Amino acid sequence: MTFVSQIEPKSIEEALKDDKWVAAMHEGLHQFTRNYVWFLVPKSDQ
Amino acid sequence: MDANGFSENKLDESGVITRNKARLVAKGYNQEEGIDYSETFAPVARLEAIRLLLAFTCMSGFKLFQMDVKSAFLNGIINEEVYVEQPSGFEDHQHPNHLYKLKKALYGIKQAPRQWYERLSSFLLSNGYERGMTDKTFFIKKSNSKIILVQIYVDDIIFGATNDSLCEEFVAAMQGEFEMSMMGELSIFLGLQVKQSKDGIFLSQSKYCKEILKKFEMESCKEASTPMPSSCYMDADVAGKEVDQTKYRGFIGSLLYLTTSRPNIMFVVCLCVRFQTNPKESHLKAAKRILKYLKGTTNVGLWYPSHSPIHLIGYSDSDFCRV
Repeated sequence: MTFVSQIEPKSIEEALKDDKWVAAMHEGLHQFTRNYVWFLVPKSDQ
Repeated sequence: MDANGFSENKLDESGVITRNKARLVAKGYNQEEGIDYSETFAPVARLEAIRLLLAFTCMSGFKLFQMDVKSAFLNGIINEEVYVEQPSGFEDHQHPNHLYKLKKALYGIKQAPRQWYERLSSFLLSNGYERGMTDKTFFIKKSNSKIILVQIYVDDIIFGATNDSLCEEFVAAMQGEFEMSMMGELSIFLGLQVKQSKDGIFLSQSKYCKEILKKFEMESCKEASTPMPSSCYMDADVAGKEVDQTKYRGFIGSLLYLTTSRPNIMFVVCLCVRFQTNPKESHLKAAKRILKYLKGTTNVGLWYPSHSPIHLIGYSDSDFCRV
């Protein structure tokens, strides 16, 4: 509970400067990995 | 092909920030029909169905539980070829120019709600549940004299059964298939406050009611004992002074949701609804009068006494007889 950012960033640039928000975003993306949501492909593939 | 943005929001609980939550949302509005998506419809339960479920379980004397699915939409399987650019700041070091190809739905993708419903409903059907004939978000499973009822509302699920073992079995099955959270007795659902006791079920929206009063700055208004004056006459009021239509519609929308636990304001709310296209001061006054009534009756709700007999009475319009 103590590791919570008190600000709500207005842009991605602002969010990236805040460690706690970076952690939150990583957690969000981690969900994608856990759920096999997507995988990387080279652009020429389509 | 989609670009994307990061959306951030924080989870407050009585005003305290408890968690920073970030969610990647795809810019689904760039999707083209026929190429990136085809069907998008997904059924959602009606509030009447929820209320009926409360009444039925109360009569049958069993308890309702709730749970929700974490990041539900990420469980939906995408059949079309959809690509998403790498979110800025989180590019893959080795392949910064690669794209993500979607296997599952992302928030913001047009077909996300439908694919989620598809995934959940086929899971339930394959586990022996039967889908409701009219309510497609209601599922039921019978074995001998035992029965379990499951009502889904996107990622929220309410369920109850004649035997605890059926509930346990359902929870285990769901946990095996999806990441679940917030399990427990049904207490708050879509802002509806549900209090279950052995004497019955109490359904109220007092928190929501207070929010409405605050939103429309009517917190300190005078209380009225009835939702409308007894000598109320309302018409188009052509000569009346116009009021902000958006605000008026906001009033009506909020009040309509409140009718879920307050059927006694249904008549007057529906009366106000009719003047939405051209609201005048007299109409706004009538809407405000409802709020004044609510001010004095914030904690009123619906009470379903246990074990009361259920008599199903159907009404239909005479048009229904027409051949």
